Amino acid sequence: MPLGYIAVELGWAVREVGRQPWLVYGLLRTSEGASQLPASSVIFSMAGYTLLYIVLAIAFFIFARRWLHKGPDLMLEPPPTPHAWQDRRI
Amino acid sequence: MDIPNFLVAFWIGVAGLSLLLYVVLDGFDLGVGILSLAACDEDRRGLMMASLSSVWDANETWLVLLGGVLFGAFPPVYAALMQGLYIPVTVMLFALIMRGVAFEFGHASARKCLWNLTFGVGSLGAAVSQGMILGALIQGWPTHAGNYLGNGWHWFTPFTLLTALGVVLGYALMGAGWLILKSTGEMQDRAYRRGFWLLLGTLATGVLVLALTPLHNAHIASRWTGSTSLPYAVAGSVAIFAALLTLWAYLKRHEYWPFFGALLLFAASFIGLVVSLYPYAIIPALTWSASAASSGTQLFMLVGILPLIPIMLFYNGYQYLVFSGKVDGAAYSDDEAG
Repeated sequence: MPLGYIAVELGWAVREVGRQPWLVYGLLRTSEGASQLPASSVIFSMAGYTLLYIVLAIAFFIFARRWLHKGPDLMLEPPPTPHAWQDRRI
Repeated sequence: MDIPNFLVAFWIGVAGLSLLLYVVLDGFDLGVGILSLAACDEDRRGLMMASLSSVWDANETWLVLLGGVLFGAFPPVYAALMQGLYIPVTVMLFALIMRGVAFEFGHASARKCLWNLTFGVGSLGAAVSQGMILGALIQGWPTHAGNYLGNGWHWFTPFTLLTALGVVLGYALMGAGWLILKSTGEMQDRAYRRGFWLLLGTLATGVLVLALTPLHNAHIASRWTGSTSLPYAVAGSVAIFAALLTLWAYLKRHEYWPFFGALLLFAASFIGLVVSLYPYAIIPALTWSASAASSGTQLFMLVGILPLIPIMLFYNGYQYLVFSGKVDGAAYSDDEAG
């Protein structure tokens, strides 16, 4: 279990929630800092980010699992001399 | 010039430099992404992505610097852009996220075509959003103290659709120039042919945008017909020169100038636009000087960022030198995924 990651995320959540109702403690309230956009625009971005990051998180877990199962390739040769460096045509 | 005015001018300069570098650098790699949608097989798409793999994320750092500079030095401009352009900016970020992860996940996936398509569609989406943002900036929109006044759709008009088309064609033109630099043989030949038509399309759209701009914005019209015509004459002459240079380069099949000519064309158009909008950041109510942060803030940022800019310019230039030369398909095989 990646407990370290969960601890980091939860610590961040505690900090953000614990600071309410301030955005900048003692200086700026969250209600004063909020934009005046229509709620429909903000719902669009909120839904978009949620959907996008769920898809990316699933893809990440599938690929990370695959890599971890495969393990490092210990027979890999060192890379050949880079030719690009010698070819100075841009 | 006293210190507050100097600071405002300095930060306008840094914001302009980051935006210009972002537009030409990410412009060409978004353009390669747009062209990858028209590529005929997955191998060629992979090669197109490989030609960008060392530079694309560094190119996008200029957008981050621009955001940071506006946030710190011109907070009302930042607020007005984020609110007034909320939907196109959000769509642009979604598109940039998708095309970014497509590079990394494409290596790991067995179904490369899915991620290659994500890369192409993301590039196109980012270019369309940026084109609409450009159109919205030319039109301007009503603001009050950085807050947006309107119904949220001012960026979606026939004019902004035209500027979006112009940006897509222009980015694809720079992308074709990049592929000419980085490829050989049949792939280069295709890039020459596509680039030539993209150049004609970009120029036609650009002229149309230029002709319609005074109708959409009285401030720009008055700037163009005003007494100080020198900057427009210079920017216009450089743009015409760049267009002719690029055209010549395509006709002669020169290897460098299709790319650098297109870059020069973008740079000249960009400078012409910024000068036309000045003194406004966002027409018709938000000027640069009125939206500047306090001199103390701007000075504090100067101390922090000034040493960083030469370093950023150096390492960005250096990576192009290190990864110079034609892209080698074999060197970018799946081995590096581990």
